[in-house]
Amino acid sequence: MSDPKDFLTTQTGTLLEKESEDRFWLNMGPQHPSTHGVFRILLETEGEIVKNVVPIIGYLHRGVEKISENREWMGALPLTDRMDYLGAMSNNMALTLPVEELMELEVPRRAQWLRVLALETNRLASHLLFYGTLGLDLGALTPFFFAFRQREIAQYLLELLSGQRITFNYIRYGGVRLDITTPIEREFRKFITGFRPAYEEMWNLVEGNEIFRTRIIGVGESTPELLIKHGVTGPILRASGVKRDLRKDRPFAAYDEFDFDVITHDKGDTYSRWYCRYKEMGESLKIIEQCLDGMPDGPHIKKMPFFFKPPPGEIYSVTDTPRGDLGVYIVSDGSRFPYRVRYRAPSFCNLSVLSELLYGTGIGDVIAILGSFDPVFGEVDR
Amino acid sequence: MLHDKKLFLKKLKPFFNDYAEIRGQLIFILDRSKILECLSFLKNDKDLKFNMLHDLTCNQKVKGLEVVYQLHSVDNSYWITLKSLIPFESLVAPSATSIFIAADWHEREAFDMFGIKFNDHPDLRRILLPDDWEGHPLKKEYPLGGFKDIKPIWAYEEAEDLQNLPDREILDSSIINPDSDDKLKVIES
Repeated sequence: MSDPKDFLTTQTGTLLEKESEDRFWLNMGPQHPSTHGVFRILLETEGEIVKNVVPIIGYLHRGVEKISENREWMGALPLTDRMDYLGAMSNNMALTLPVEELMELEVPRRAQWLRVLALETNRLASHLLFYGTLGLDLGALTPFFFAFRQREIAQYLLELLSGQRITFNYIRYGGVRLDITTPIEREFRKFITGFRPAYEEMWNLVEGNEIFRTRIIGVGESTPELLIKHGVTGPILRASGVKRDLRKDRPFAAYDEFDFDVITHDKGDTYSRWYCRYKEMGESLKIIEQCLDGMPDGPHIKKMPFFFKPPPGEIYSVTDTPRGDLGVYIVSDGSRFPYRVRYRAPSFCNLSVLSELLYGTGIGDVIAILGSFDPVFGEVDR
Repeated sequence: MLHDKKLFLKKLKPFFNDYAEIRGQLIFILDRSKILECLSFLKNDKDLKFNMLHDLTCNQKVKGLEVVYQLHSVDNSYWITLKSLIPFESLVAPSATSIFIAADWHEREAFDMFGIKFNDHPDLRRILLPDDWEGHPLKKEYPLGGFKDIKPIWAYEEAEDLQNLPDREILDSSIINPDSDDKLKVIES
């Protein structure tokens, strides 16, 4: 891949001499289809090259934290589904975890396993969407159909499990809402056997494609230092070679009982981010299979009253979502209502690195890099 | 293993006034003047290496706003919480952006939601709400529906009502005053 600066001199060499006059501001979004939501970004460009980046967020702000403070603890739970709507299960998990810690609730083992099953199926669906939309951003329509054929089944499984397609509200304080039945388990197994060949096919479809490789290899390279400095986590950090996964380092639910690998890649470019997410799908599949094989018996929820009062105190708990670390800081004053709920959204922190990462890239690469970050704006703006 | 209690207590002795342990999480309470000193110590110390500012937020107390820092060490997978009370009389905290660039957006959000000022922040603007928004929504005295009594357009049934839309003004300034609000919940740290 040639240096973008050389490209500028060869293609528009004359323009480079009067660079101060030739800069202009390009407004992208908030309705742009490639920004994956209502994201506005101001780019100061010099020819094709981005020289200044101003991300503008907040178009989807609904005040989730404020609304949560005015509801009972149980009422705050459905709101979390509306934040990261592609990985809603992990958001349910993120809020239930600190409340259970604060109340010192003991969750039944079967419930923990069902949580892992739901979380990983949701992670699979989320990464499949990423696989499809990155192709769309780069102008390839076919991967989208390959991914969505499988994603549709994953959504159907989650619907069977929880009764909802997008906003599950499945993981509750003390366990999960519904137990898994034998017919649903059979559907899961059917999905796994069908997904294996499709997964191979998805690799062959894209990985060897010359255009796809040229568009993403070496684009948007990042170092671990830069990402850690900005608080970037999840698959993006793992793609730059940092072996860090909260499912291993700070296990929640029943993740410490499962056998899976943490996927890393060393280059930190758009290809690495694609690679990490693709391989994570395989790991998710492994976990789902282990879940179905070794599902323990017992109750699926510890019965809780609808209104309850956690003891006064504060907890900061972190869970791993498909997009990174979702931190939840809760403060309880001993009443029925949360005193303060704060969501540290992974997409919010991931986007803050953009202004440094996009400097010096071409406008076409902005779309590829943004697509590889896989942000969800319900979560960024909350 | 979230932390190494003995090591943390020894290392942080000159900085904190008090500490608490809730469900295995260590929380240190510091003075406002020592925040930056402590943050840069935690970042540069060879044994601790807290290289990521995981979260920064505010929490309203009776006498002021509490700024809460969540630090994380990627290498050692340590976690630590720092808190500092900023009294309502002077709502100014030092900005951590010179030490952790990640604090940039978090501090802008804290300013947006709580109205707390961060000294030496490079670009302290609202981040989630529009620039001309009035008030800071996450403060306890801010009502859930907002200060303004504006009905949505479909709520005006008669055509004459549409002629007399209320002005966009704060209805009663006494709502903003925290002393007059009995809904303010009290929490002891």
